[in-house]
Amino acid sequence: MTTHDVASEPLLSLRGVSKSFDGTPVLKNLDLDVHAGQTLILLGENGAGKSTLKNILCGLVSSDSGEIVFGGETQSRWSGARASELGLGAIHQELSLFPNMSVAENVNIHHLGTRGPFVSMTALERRTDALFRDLLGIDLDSSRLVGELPLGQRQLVEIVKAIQVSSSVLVLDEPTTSLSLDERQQLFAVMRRLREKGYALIHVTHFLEEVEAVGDRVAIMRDGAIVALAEKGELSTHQIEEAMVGRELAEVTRDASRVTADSPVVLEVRDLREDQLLDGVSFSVRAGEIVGIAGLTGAGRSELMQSIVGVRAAEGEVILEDGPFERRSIPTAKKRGLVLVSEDRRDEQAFLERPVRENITSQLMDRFTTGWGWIQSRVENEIASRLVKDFDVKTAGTEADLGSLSGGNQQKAILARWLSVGPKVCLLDEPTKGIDVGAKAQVQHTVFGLAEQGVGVVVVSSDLPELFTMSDRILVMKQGRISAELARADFDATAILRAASSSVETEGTR
Amino acid sequence: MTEVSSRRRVRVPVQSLVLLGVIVVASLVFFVLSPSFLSVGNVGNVLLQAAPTVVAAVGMTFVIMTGGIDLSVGSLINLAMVAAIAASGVTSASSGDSSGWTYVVAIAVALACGLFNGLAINLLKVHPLLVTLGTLTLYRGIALHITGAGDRAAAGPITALGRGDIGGIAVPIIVAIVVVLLGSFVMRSTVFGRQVVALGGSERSARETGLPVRRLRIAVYVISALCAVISGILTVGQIGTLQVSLGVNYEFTVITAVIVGGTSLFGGKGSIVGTALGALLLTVIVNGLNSIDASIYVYDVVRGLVLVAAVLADSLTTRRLSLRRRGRQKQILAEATSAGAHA
Repeated sequence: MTTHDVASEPLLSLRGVSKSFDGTPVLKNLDLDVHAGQTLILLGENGAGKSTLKNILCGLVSSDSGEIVFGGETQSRWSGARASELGLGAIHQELSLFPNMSVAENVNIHHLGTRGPFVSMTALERRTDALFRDLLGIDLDSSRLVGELPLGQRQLVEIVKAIQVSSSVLVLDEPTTSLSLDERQQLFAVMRRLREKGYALIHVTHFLEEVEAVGDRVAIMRDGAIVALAEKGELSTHQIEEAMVGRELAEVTRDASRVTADSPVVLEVRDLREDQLLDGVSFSVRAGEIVGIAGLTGAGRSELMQSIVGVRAAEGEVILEDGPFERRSIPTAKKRGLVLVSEDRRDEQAFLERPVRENITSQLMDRFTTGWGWIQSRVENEIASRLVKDFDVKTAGTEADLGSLSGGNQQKAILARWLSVGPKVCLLDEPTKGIDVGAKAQVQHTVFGLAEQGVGVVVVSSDLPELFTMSDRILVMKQGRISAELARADFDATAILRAASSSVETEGTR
Repeated sequence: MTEVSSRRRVRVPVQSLVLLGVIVVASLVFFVLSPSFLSVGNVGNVLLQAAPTVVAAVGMTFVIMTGGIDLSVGSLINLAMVAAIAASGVTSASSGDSSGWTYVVAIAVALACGLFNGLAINLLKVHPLLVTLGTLTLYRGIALHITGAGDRAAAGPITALGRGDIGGIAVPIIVAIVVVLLGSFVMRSTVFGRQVVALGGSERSARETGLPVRRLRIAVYVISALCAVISGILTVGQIGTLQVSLGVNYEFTVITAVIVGGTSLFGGKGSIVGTALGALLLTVIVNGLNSIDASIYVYDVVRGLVLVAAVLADSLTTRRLSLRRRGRQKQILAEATSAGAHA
């Protein structure tokens, strides 16, 4: 596979690849070369088209036009099967593991048979134990069920599995989001070793510091095109950021916060505990304050938000401005002025087969119903149209099904629903995940507006720059606890990452 | 190497041990109430009664392990047996011998029905509940059409399996034991079996990792059909006639046995041995209630309670369903109810 000239001829090329979803172009006539023995870092904001590009590379999605060239040959029929035939492996962001099966079975899912069609667990486990030791230098009991492992270790299982089936190209889609510092270092060591073996690596990430750690070349995507392509070191961090965001977007800045020690506390959480996932969380939020919550995936951030409003049963106290919030549930939370916009908005809060109007106004029914429960359609329509305009929801009209909108616009509609009910406390779980850069700025401004009106806001985000821009304070979560609290003056990415990371040792001995 | 093997955990089949305990306790209760319950003759009787259900439930376990369900087993048995006996020329309830070909025809028809279930589920891409609800009616309708809703005699070679014994042990019991051992081996120690379990654990992962999802799905419905028809041959052999009512509501008994045996309705978790114990427990209850002359209406009450208890025990052990998963269940329910409304 390394017979051709490593330096000059690319191992894998995309030529003029375009792709649209529902008429919205996601990739625009994109060219990309990947060389054997090199690591290409693919950077870009959410919605830049990285995932689509990755899915096309892996054969999960077919492109509308353009061609894929592998080892000098144009591939006329590109598919998932063809990709794995050529030794292309991928680590997807959403893990494709079987929680009900052992680590050994998951890693070897493509070749379970140890003797023909028969499976010997002992042999599989021995083989897998050795793999973990050789590749990552970790002793992991491969007879454990994947569902029992912490998220970081599951990610390692996915990584070992992908490495095992790939022989030429390895695509890594944000593999580090749930890894601790130590685990990251181990992964980077593996990546460097694979590169030396002649693999072509494509590393999709939004952590700029990873460019320095493992990159050879950097490709920056914006709006479905590659806007910059450079060798490592040719671009400064600032230049990279500019290329990612695009210069037309002015930096989102927030006016000085007006929170003082006298501002009333609108939300106080005392010793919240939930079986396994929350281990005694306490914090408070003042009126007009924006509190950011950072942490790795699986640290319990979403679970904390869900426990506060009562979607998830938890022990401990939640106190709102007007007194303790007992018997927590979404309807009572709403009555008391506490709303949650959950991370998985599309799955949990969207009525995809209902019109945009109903989705937006579903929490505002009391504003356009008479005492007898009659809906005043005229008022409802007015409210819906105004909110569609305010939140810049791109839709064919208020009567279009929510499902016909693009993902980002669906999210904006759901945000509009919750932010318009006039909450006193607003919990936002990854409010800008998966929406385009322009919409992101709008959402952030909306949140600032809320804070200025004296609403207490809690923002969970994996996007550190976003947290830095928005928050007055940042709380870092680790394994169901708050491990650090940083004031605005002390915001620092390394400090946060360190506080969020748990060493492999402590997890292994649990 | 020894270090590795000492580190491995031995997975104790807790659920099966609990079930075994429940069976022992239930047997002792019935024994106290009616001492004849644990006589040698009656124990043999319980095993003989349990055998057909055990066999059908082993097949059903493969289906439920993938997250599917096969409601058509009862009708499928009826159709396969009706077709087989019709093929050997028996047209009345009082006389006529089947031929050796009966087995071949019965198995062939059953395999065709199982294949049809699997293909239809793949093709229509709707929940197996709906597809097999349809074939439940379809297969029974065809069978009724053939017999004109009359009973048929089942004599000759067809009864050999149901009535024979080897070394004093009834053939159905031997068949059941062989099917359980074979099924357990296939599920635990073959690539196919592990792929079935994987598919039940996460269909999305199965598709993304390139497992042969469609082929696996067809295979489990064919296995279910094959086990069902063996169960049917054993039953008909024991009874001696092919009744119109053969297999009516049988799917509920079979599915109950699988669920009581600890297999999750959402797939990915369970065991063949557990299924066998589940079927045995149900038979112990029916036979025991019979031996203490309980009212026939009590049977269903007790069976229902056992099922609810089993489901409760299962949900207590697998409490942590993700929200996403709950969403999927809702979607399945919605699909099922909307399609039910159209029907």
